[in-house]
Amino acid sequence: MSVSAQVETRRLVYNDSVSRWFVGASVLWGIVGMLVGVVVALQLAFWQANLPPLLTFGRLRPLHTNAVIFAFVGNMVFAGIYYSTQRLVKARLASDLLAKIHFWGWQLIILAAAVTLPLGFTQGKEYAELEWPIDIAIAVVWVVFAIEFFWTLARRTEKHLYVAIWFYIATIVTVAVLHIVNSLCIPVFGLKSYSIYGGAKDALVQWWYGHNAVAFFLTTPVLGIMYYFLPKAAGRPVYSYRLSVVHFWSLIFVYIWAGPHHLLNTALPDWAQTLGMVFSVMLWAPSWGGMLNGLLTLRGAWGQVRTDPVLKFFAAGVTFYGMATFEGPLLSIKSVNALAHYTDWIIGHVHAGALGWNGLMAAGMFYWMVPRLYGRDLWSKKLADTHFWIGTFGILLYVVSMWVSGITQGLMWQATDAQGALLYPNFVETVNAIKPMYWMRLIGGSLYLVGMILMAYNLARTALAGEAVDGETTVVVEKVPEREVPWAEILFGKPVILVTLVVVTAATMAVVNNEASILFASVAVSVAVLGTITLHLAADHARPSWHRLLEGRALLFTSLTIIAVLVGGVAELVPSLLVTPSEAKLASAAQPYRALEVEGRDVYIREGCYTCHSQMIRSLTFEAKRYGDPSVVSDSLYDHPFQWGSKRNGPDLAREGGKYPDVWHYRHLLDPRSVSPGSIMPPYPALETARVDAGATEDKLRALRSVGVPYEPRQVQSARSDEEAQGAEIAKALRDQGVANVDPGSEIVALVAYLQRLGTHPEAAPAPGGRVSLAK
Amino acid sequence: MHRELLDQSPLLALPLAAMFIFLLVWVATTVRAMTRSRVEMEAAARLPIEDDHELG
Repeated sequence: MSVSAQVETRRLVYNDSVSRWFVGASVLWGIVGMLVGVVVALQLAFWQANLPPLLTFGRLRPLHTNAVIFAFVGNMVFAGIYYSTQRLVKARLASDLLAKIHFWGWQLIILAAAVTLPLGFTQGKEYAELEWPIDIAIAVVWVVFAIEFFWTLARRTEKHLYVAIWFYIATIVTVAVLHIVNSLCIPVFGLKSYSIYGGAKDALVQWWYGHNAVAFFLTTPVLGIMYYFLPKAAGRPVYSYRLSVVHFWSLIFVYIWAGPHHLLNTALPDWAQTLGMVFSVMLWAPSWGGMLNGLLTLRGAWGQVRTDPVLKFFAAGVTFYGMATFEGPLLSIKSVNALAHYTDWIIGHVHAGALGWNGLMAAGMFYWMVPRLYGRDLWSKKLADTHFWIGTFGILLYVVSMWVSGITQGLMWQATDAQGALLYPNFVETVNAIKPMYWMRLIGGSLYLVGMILMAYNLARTALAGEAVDGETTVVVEKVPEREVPWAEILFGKPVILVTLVVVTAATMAVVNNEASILFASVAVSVAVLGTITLHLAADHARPSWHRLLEGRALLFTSLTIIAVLVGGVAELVPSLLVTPSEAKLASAAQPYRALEVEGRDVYIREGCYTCHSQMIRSLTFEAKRYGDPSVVSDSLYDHPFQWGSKRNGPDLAREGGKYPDVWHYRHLLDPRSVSPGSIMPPYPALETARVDAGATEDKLRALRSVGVPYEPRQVQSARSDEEAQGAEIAKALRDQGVANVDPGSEIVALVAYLQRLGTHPEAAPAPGGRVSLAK
Repeated sequence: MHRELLDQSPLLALPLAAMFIFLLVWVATTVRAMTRSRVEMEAAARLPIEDDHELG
């Protein structure tokens, strides 16, 4: 350390051990998660690959999604954030202990997921399946991460917060909000809970969470990583810092609103659907702002892309990001969505983003970082190039096959003849038509996995041939820090006053009549335009600009980021959570499930039936022809969690009740192909002998009552006897229909009870097939 | 039209207000970003490039 009268120079050693650990964990879990992905892809192409009860598609698909999102990308993001943040703020991580707790805590969460999900412990909500004790652990570990991150920012010697840091801040605060709000549940016992939200409310909260998990776990931190590692690898600064400012604020505000595009044409209120659609289309602009900023950073360096595998991965990754963020807004348009929703087109879109953007950016970052973490060159550039080409080809096979499959499905589901009757009334016909695409997807996914294994080998050889190196630098620290601008000057600065004035003027529109509101709107716009021009002309150019001051104030920046991401969530969720639809006020419109039906529903959720079957008949003519009257809010009012589903590998079940006799369902569950030739559904033989835990049913009804399901106290107390009575009824019906030795307390009887209840509603029209006589 | 919306629930003023806030913030942020000096911008953009000042 050297000292002069005004400044001192300090040696700074970064904590790069944590980045090494997270890189290793990401590569390992990436291979595991993608291997599970290959298995589930095989199970769709070849149903015999299902190994009930633990290794069926319904139980493994959530394991795949959790592993690739939270284990693969999660660990990669942490590696990149810890590496880049220390260097950008020129400070070592605040606490080595917190870093260790973060790392080991996260890996234990992943292990808990790997064990509990195949065992069937699931909350039944996509990308949030983990049960409540693990949810609490996630929150604790996330808080540890947040403390470490913000504490490091507080100790920084570089005052300006580079754009990558803004994206990391947005990620940390938003993921915390999303996780806590969506995970709210009532525990029943051990590893069983029910969401506090039900039906349409749960649908809205779930997809507000689900899409923003994509936004703030899969996109914003990787954009931050792009803004750091791409310029580093290319040796040139980001193309436009101005664009990064506009890009950041637009993206984090607009993204939050996009969730309802997962619920278009459903029973979700129209205003929420329209908001989701409009904001999703608007999202195209900031997304491409980021993409262009990334790609144009490479101008003048395209020659390097030919020779440097790191830049190949980054260029391709950003390109896939652009592709996915063009496709996404298009899929969010109601008319396009009417074709695409529930089909494989959505799967193709997801994997273009996941494999293309997340996977390729991860590879680029690892190939750049690992040599520096181990003090030597990458073991084999040629192998990295081979990985790139195999992986990219794999993505193309995957995505193209899913486009073809998805559009085929969508068109076949809609197809009608000259008389208006469905051309393909049997759902299995549409499954058989796309099976070749499922094999092609399997090949594409397998190639991508091969690429990942090549990368793991290459990185391992690099690490083994080198030795762990922690980065070092010198920092110049002023002994007498310059005067910081007071809080009040930023918070009550002229831009904030202007915005407040305009908002208050505009908000007055809500409480005055139409003519006065036009006047207030005009005043608001005029004040906004004239005020902005005035501020610009009056600015003191000798002092740092207002946004520059904002960038230097980490806490203030964080607070304003929280407000920006909360606005959309509050605006979309609060009205739907507090406003009760008029139809749901009619007590007779919806009846809670009986005790045995609750147990059957829990079997349905445990087995992951919702991963293949939806329960939402959209308000589209061809859907009504195939499945019956479109679903309404009261159909699923008491579903905690909701079961609308997001994919149809099998038919919709919203009005399944009464379509087939009990024996049909019994045989279908044990051997689907015995009643539905050509089906790809796995068999569930264990359901015949597994027994419902009748002792837990009363606790379940009590828990459901606590989240708003209107069970009478006597219904809760008599849950067991009601369950036995309904079980005996169904067992007798099955015996009458030729099934010997039916155990009335078995899980299969419970599941039949639940399936026969679906859509049997006082006001619902009968399903097109009508109730089949039990005498058949 | 907004009166029809608000008749369903006064809470539906929230999305309207929020959209207006977004528009204003976005316009203000864009104008400020476009009018900042090139020198400031270039200095910020170079941060990742210049963090490689390492010992040894």
